[in-house]
Parts: sequence; structure tokens; C-alpha cells
Amino acid sequence: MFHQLFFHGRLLSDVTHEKSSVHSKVLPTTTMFYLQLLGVVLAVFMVAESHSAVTSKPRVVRDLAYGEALYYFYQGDYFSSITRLQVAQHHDLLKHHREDAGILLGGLFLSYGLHNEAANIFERLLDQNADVAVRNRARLYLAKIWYQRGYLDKAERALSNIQDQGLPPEVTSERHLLLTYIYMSQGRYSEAVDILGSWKKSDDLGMYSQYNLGVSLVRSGQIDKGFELLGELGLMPAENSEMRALRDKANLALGYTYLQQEQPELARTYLERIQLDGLASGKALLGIGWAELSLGNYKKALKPWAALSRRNTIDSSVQEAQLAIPYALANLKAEKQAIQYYHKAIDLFQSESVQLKNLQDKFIQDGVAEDFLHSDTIDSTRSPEGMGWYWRLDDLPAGPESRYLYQLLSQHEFQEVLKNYRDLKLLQRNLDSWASSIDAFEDMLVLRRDTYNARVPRIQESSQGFDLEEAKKKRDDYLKRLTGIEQRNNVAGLATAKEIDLESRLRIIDKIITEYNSGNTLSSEGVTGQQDEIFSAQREKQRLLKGVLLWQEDQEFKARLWRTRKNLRQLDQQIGAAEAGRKSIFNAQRIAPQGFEGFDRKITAQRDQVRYLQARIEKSKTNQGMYMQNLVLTELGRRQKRLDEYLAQARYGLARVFDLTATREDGTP
Amino acid sequence: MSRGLNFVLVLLLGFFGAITTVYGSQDLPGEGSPTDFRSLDDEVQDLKKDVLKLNRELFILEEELLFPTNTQVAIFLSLGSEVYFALDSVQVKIDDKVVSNYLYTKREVDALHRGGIHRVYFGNIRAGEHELVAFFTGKGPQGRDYRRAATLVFEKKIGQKYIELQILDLENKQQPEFTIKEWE
Repeated sequence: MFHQLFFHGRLLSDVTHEKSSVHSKVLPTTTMFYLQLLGVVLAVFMVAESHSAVTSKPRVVRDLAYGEALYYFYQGDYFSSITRLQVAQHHDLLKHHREDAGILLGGLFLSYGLHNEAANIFERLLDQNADVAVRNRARLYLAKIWYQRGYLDKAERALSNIQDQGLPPEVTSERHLLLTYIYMSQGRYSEAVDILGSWKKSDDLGMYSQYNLGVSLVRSGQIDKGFELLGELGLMPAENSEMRALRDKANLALGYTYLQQEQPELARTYLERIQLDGLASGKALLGIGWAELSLGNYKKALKPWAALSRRNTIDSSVQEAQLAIPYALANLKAEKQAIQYYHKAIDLFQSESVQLKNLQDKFIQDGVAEDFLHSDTIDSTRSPEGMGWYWRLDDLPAGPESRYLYQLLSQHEFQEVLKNYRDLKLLQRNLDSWASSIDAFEDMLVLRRDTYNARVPRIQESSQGFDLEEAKKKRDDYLKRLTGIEQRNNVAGLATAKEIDLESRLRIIDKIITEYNSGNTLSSEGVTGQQDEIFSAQREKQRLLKGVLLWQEDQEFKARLWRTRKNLRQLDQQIGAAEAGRKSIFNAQRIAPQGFEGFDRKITAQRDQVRYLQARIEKSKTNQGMYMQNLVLTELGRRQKRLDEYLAQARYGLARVFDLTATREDGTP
Repeated sequence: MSRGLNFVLVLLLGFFGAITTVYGSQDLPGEGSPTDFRSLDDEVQDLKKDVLKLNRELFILEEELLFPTNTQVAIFLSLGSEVYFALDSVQVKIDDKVVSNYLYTKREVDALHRGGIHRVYFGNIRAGEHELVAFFTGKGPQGRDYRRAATLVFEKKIGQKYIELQILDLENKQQPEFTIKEWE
């Protein structure tokens, strides 16, 4: 992984990752950049939090939904974090963390390559919340992201929005350097010279700026001044591999320029300063050989070329050395050896050419993207290394394409397109998953509607069996009666069933006695004195019992009154509940069908939207794939063209040596 | 200096990767132009934005369908304890029925320590009174195995119900504290 990052990092470092070399000599620069990016997002986010009076230890999260988004964010599951934040915003569940959540969402959008969205959020929220230092840092990183993606106008605007007040030196340096890159990319070399010339450099960035200044001077027509600067850079002490590589670049540019100017000694001086194990060493060895050849030192020229020829034959310098060696040998009149070397070179070029052709055919037929992503096993957007900026291509394809394309793969543009392609694939999986969920939603809705339709008649039937109005009327009657009983202090009005029965029986006894007495008055000759006594005793007993009953009822009256009132209150509650239930059923009957229709509409609309976006993703994947294919085929085509030229030169050289040999043999007596 | 030399230097500087060209297109003649790249990037940005928006809509639809507001209940867990309790797992019972068993990874515990809140359970219950019991398992003070429970009797009304299980440090007792908080 680090091998790949290294290549990528080398190239990226040329432009915007100077700081990485300052801060770390271990991590590849690209990784550092992404870590810094994450760092700035977190810094922005933390500062915003501090502004919203949130303590950090232990952090007081005042909205559960915000805490939930943080839970996923801190695990690196950015997709889930985005989803939770968006849903919480929709339900207005972020009352206490509205701005923190906004800034966090901005950072997460940035990590997904949604830099326009992120910039909108940052511009809106950072101005209100963050301090100047954080704002400046956020703008610098936004500028870097835009610059890398070719949004030069936006990058320049972001840089111009950085406030000078209290700007740390390292931010100032990066800002100036990035601005010069923007100017140089737009061909505005004079403006680049103005910035680079006036800017005091104090760190490693100084070497980059000097190189850029040299280039800008040359490109703006100030050749001598540019040469002078590049020459100084070529002799500068370099503390790390990054700086040594930059120094090599300056020496290489000057060496080849002097070669072209036919000043081989000067060219050799610059080329010999280049380190032998650096990236520029192949071209340096080749150039030294040509310088020696120009000076007539054929044998000396063979030394660097022979060393070069033992290296990987995919390198164009190595391929060129395969041609240069027999050329020098022929000039040394070692025609036999020259012929052998030419044959070797022709075999090599032909073999390489066949491989290139096969590769081109393969990529034309199968496309490029899937070949590079074949070992990409990430199948979930939940993975911390899922979508977004932090993903890099870890493993090159196992086939021969890696040999030819490693340089292309290390380039930012290719990586970005590949990453976009991969992101689209992951989004496609997300949509595919929703597409099957939507079918399940529909089934669920059908089931719920069927259940509802089956229940409604039963509920209606059940509610029809209970007359709520009648119940309310009865309850009113009870209350009226109870009030009357209380007002009249009618203790018998609250008698129990047993007491009522007793009362009834006592009334019957009373009636019999009364009837007996009245009958006795009418026909007294039929009644004996003994019977009178019995009836008199019974009447006394009846009176006593009636008195006991009344006493009991009177004793219990208050308690019974309280209990009855309590029961009435409970009845009130039950009637209220029944009324609410009826209202709820009524509402449910009114709302439920609307709800079903609402869900129906949503499901239909979102299914259409899923299909629409699936189609757009497919189209966009095709576009990204074609763009990558174009990059790859162009690179392979360039190599093919160069090989064809070398092959033609080798054949011509071989023919020339044969001619020389034949001429010499003809001339031999 | 000759014009030819000027041209060569410019050419060589370009060929060897003048610093600026790395992100630009000058070192990739014949390939996709920056405009192509930018328009493709814009296209993907728009698409990503639309998919994220739809993802949100679908997520909301799913929640509305599966967990209607009237019956919805969500139980969250927050971890304020840094010293006296190392969380391993939590079990949640509602009305004596286990509704969630969750075993935490180191990464998840770290996220909780940093302020994240985990939704342990999301489901439906009827309106009325319910009893919630949460069992917390982990390592207590001095690294001893530790299992504690916290209980809450709560009223589920019409509308969403949010409950938070809190694990805090009680400095004065040098013990963890497990509480349950109802959110309005």
C-alpha cells in the first residue's frame, strides 16, 4: 500500500504537500494530506462545538440524535453519520447542536468529494462560529481540494478570502505556494514570479518555491535568471529524499538543456550531481552517456548505459540505452557486438510491443475500471474505508498492466476518477439494497391495509353494540338521583339489595298487620284476645327491625354516598375513554386511508427516484470508465509509439552496421 | 540565451514534470482535458448529492413505516464513565422481555467515550405503563467483573418515546453509576 502511496505522494508532494515533509518524514505525503484534511474537519468541528458551550470531558451532548451521529462519525462510518444527521435535521432533532451538526455535515460532505456542498456550509457557518485561525485553515484546505480537482478559479477565490491577520507562517507559506501553482497552471508566470520573488521562505517550501520561481522565470522569458536559480537549487544541501528529488529535477532539467545546447561538459556536470538511486537516475545515466559520446568518449559512454541496461526494461531510458549501446559499439568498430546488441534490442522492443498491443486490446474490450477494482472487496458503505477521499488503490492489478501504468496510476487525476467510479459502485449497491427494501415496504403496506380493512367492520360492529349516548343519559340520571338522595338525606336511597329486600319484606309484614287490625275492627267477634297479643308483638318486632334497618342505612349513608360518587367519577372516565376511543376510531377511519395513500405515493415516487438514480449512476459509471479507458489507452499508445520508433531506429542501426561491415569486407583485399 | 534553448528548457521542464503540471493537464497531452475532468467531477458530485438525499428520504420512510410515531420507542446508551467502568455489553428488557442484547467492540466503546450515543433499541410498544430493565456488564473498579441493573417504570403516551441509559462515574463513591433518563 505504502509503495503505491509513495508514488502518488511523490507527485502530489510536488504541488501541495510540502508541509508533509515538514511534519513527517515517515508517512507518505498523500496520507498526510488526508489526515490533515480530517484534522481540519475535526478542528473546525471541535472549535464550533466549543463555541456552542459544549464541554468536552465528559462531552455533554444535549441532543440524542447528534450523539448518535457522533457515534458513527467517531467510528469512521461517515455514510451512516451523514444519514443520521440528515434525518435528525429533517425531524428537527438538533435544537441544541444545529450549527455543530451543520459543520460536521460539511466536513463529511468534504470527505465524500462533495466540495461544493461543503464549501457552502463552511462559508455559511464558519463565518458565524469559528475563529479566524480555523476559518483560514478551512479555506486553505478547500483551496487545495479545488486546486487538485482543477477548480482553479474557486481555489484562487478561497485563498483570497484567507485573512492576513495573525496568519501562522506555515499557512502563509502554503497559501503563497498554492497561489503560485494556480498562476502557473493558468500560464500567469509573471504573477507567479511576483509572488515567489517577494515571499520570504524559511523552510523546505523555499526549495519548491525556488524551483517554481526558476520555471516561472524561464517561462516568462527571463531565461538567464531562471537558469541561475535552478543552478543554485541544484547545489543546495537536501535533508530528505523529497528535497533530494527536487534538487535532482533541477539538475536534470539543466543537464538536458546544456546537452541540447551542445555543451556536453556542462551537461555532464549537472547530470553527475543526480543521485543514483533516485527517480531521475535513469535519465541522468542516459544523459551522461550522451554527454560522453558528444565528447568522443565512446568507451566512457558505454559505462552508464551498461549500468542502465540492467534495469527494468519498461523504463524509456533503459529502452533508449538498448539503442545507444550498439550505436557506441558500432562507433568503436565492434560491429559484431553491435549487431548482437541491436538484435537483443529488436527482440526486446518486439516483445514489449506485443504485450502492449495485447493490453490495449484487453482494455478496449473489457474496460479499465473493473480491472483495477477487481481486488476491491469492500461491499458496504458502512466500512470506515468505504466511500470517499480516504480510500486509495492499495493493490495494483496482478497482470502486466501494472508495469506500464504505474506512473499513470500514481497521478491524481486517474486516482480521482477511479475513486469516483468506486464511489458510484458503492452508491449503486446502496440503491440496489433500497430497491429491494421498497418492494418489502410495499408488501408491508398491503398487509397493513388488509389487516385494517378486516378490522374496521369488527370495530364498527362492536361500537354499534354499545350506545354511548344512552350510557351518558343513564349516567346523568344516576347523578340526578344521587343529588336528590343527598339533598333529601334519603338514606334508603342508597340501600343495598339485601336491605331493599328486607325493607320490602318489612313492608309486607306491616301491610298484613295493618290489614289484620282493620279487619278486627270490622268483625271483632271473630278475633280472640290471644291473637291480638301475637299481632301486637309482631308489630313491635317489625318496628324494631325497621328501626335497625334505618339505623344501619343511616350509619352507612356517608360512606355509600362517597363510594357512589367515586363510582360515578370512574364511570365518567370510562365514558370519556369510550368517547376518545370512538373519536380515535373515527379519526383512524378518516386518516388511515389517507396514510396508506400517502405511503403509496411516497413508495411509488421513491421507487421511481431509485430507478432514475440507478440509471444515472450507470451512465455516469460508463462516462468515468470511458474517461479512465481513454487515459490508459493514451498512455499505452504513447508507449507503443515510442517503442515503434525505437524499433525502427534499431532496425535502421542494424542495417547501418551490416552496411559498414559489408563495405569493410568488400574493401578487404 | 537563444530562442531555441528557451524552447528546449520549457519543453524539458514540462517533460520532467514542472511542479505545476502535476495537477494540471499539461503533462498529459492527448488525454482528457481538465474541462472533461471537471464536468465529470461535477456530474458525480450532483449524483452523490442526489443519492444521499434519496437515502435520507428512504431512511425516513422506513422508520415511518416500521416504527410509527404513536408506538415508537428508542433506547439510547451514553457512556460518561471513564475510570470506574469499562463497558462490555448491555441487555435491555421491556416488560420482562429481552428486546436488545449488544456486545460492544473497542471501536464502539471509544466512540461512546468521545461523546457518541448508541441507539440500543428502536421498536414499538403500546401506550400505557411499562417497565424497562437494563443490565450492564463490564469491568468495574480494579478490573473486577461487574454487572449491574437499572430499572425504570415509564408511561408510553401517544408520540415518540426516547429513553437514555447513562453510565457515569461517581467520584465520591469511586463507583460507576447507572441511571435511566426519560427524554421529553
